[in-house]
Amino acid sequence: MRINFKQKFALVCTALLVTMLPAQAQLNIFACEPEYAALAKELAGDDANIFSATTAKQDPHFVQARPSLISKMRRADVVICAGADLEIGWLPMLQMKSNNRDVQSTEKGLFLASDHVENLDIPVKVDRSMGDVHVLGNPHVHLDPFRVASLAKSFTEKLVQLDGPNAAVYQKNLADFSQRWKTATAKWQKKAEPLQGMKVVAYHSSFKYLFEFLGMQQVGDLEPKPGLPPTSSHLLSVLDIVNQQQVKLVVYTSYQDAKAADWLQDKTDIVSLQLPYTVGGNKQSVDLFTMMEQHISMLLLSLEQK
Amino acid sequence: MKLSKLTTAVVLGVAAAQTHAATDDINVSAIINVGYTEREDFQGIAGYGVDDHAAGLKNGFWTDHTEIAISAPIDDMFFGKVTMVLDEHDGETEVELEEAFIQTTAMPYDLSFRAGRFLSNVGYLNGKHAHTDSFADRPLVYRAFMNGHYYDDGARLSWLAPTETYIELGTEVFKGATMPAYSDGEGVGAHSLFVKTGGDFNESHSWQLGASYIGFKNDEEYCSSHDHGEEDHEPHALEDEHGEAFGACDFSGDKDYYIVDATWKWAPNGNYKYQNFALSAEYFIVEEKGELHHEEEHEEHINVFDEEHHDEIDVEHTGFYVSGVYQFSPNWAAGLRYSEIDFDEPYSDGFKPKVSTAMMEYRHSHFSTIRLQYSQDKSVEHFTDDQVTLQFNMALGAHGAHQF
Repeated sequence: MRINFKQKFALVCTALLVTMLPAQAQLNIFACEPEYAALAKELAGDDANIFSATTAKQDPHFVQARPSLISKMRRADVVICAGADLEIGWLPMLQMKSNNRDVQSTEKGLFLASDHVENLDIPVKVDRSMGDVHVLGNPHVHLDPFRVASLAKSFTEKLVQLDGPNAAVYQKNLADFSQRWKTATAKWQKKAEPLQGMKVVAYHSSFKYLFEFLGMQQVGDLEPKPGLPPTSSHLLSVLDIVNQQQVKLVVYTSYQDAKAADWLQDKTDIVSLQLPYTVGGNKQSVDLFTMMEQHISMLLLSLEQK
Repeated sequence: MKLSKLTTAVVLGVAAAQTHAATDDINVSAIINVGYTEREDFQGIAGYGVDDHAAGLKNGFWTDHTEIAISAPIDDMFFGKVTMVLDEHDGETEVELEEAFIQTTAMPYDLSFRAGRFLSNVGYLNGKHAHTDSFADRPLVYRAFMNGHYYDDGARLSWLAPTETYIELGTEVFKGATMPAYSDGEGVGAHSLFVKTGGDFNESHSWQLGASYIGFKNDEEYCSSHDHGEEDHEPHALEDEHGEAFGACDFSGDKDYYIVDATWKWAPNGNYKYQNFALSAEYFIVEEKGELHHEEEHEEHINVFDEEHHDEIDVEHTGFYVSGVYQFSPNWAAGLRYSEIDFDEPYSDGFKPKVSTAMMEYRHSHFSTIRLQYSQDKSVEHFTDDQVTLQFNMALGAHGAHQF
């Protein structure tokens, strides 16, 4: 095929246009968790400075409002977190101490994912005897691809609001991400069909949204109540559930202790499985796509184990 | 009577707050801090004048520093907090307004301004609420020099440097009317300067260093011995070996504090849930320049009379504490602390008060702590007090975020 002058001209014009687009401002993005650092990377582009306050090895409920995080937040243009009180033990202190007026409220540079999607497990009635229950519902929303798709849209709106001159770039990134994510979601749904209806025991309500997406059913929790570590008497009651309901799988995250799950594995023919939970949770999970693929393929693999 | 009125006010306040809770971010919390302590009566700290707050825990059952706090963003510019503390002294419940401040959240140039009544940010422990401590009482050096903690009416300006490493500079001015300050309360009776810096060595290790100065202009005439009526109880000071004893309010002049503090925290991979260790230390230099009031007993013929003296003094005391706390499971933690003071003459002629403390605590959840603590207290010469405390420290309502 020959390229004629018209086509050449169009190519040159496109190239020029692309280079003439305003250079992306170096937005400083402070993400509370690795999954939101990954989402910000997809949408804000490579030029943004993205910092994750926690790693996959850290329980986001128990982070310290460390000096290093205060100075990071001081320079943030955008703070993106799960919200729904997940970070209540440290985020308000960082906001207060950072002296950064741009990230104090969601009207400005603060983005709380849970504000933008429907949350599961919103309790009808809350008191502390129920454990560390979140009044605003389960904050671990990043494990449902449908919610992630809508979070991508909402977060792009936030980026556009804060950095109008680069709106076109953010819209383009969103369109690109949404397309790839939609295709991947359809693929995951198909691939995960064998998991439908599968019963599972988990540590905390960390995977609730993943189970909802996959049509799986969490029938037991290693924690007696949210936030309380497993006790031996509680584990015995989980053991009963496992035996009565023929549960084949117990899962936990990269920041939770394997002991309780392993104990259950020793007592029954259940498979104990550490899932990545977030980006960086295992070697293969380098972004949101590979993280979801890992979850599904690891769960499928466990079906074959027994 | 005083209390019941306040209780009603608090209940109404809480009820009013709750009706808004769904829409506004009003945090209401209460800390219940109760326990039982087996110890001898407090006999002072060497010959250094301190008031009842410096005594630490009371003998027998106690409710100490039970607090109620309400905080919320006021608008997009201001945040506000009120903390009331209930303490029991000599059978009377006393209500102290420990905090009532507003703080800016939207000042330009990385500045932050606070005004009202609040805890001074000098040192490491002073700016923290006692219920977040890892021990049932404050270290000896804090009890002697800071009356447990120094809070007052005043204003603070702080600035965060635009650096990768955290550096905060701040200055405060206070009325100077709550212990250890005692000035006329008209104008500025205390002022401070502090710098705090910190960072991470790596994923598992973090650190913080601080250097602070706080100066008080004290005048014995205006000493009100903390907020509660000083006429009820004598300031404590044990007659020491050379017969000298000074009350909490016997000094007039300049009192300058220089404090350095260092903290190191460790958690495997930075995951604080299962295991972590915190080591912190503070060192105090206290300079007193002025006059010390004391009475000397004289006998002339058959008359015995007290003669008042005002001695010029220029002295320097030092003191420190070191504490290490290891949380070895989500439920259990244990800690050790040592605190010692080296008083200059005329408060002491070489005796150094010291307290060694060990504690073990069980946390059922993030909100409840049961702590068993043992202290070997050598605050006064020739006497060792073995103190055993069982403490219940529990939080109701909103979880407040904690400082590093």
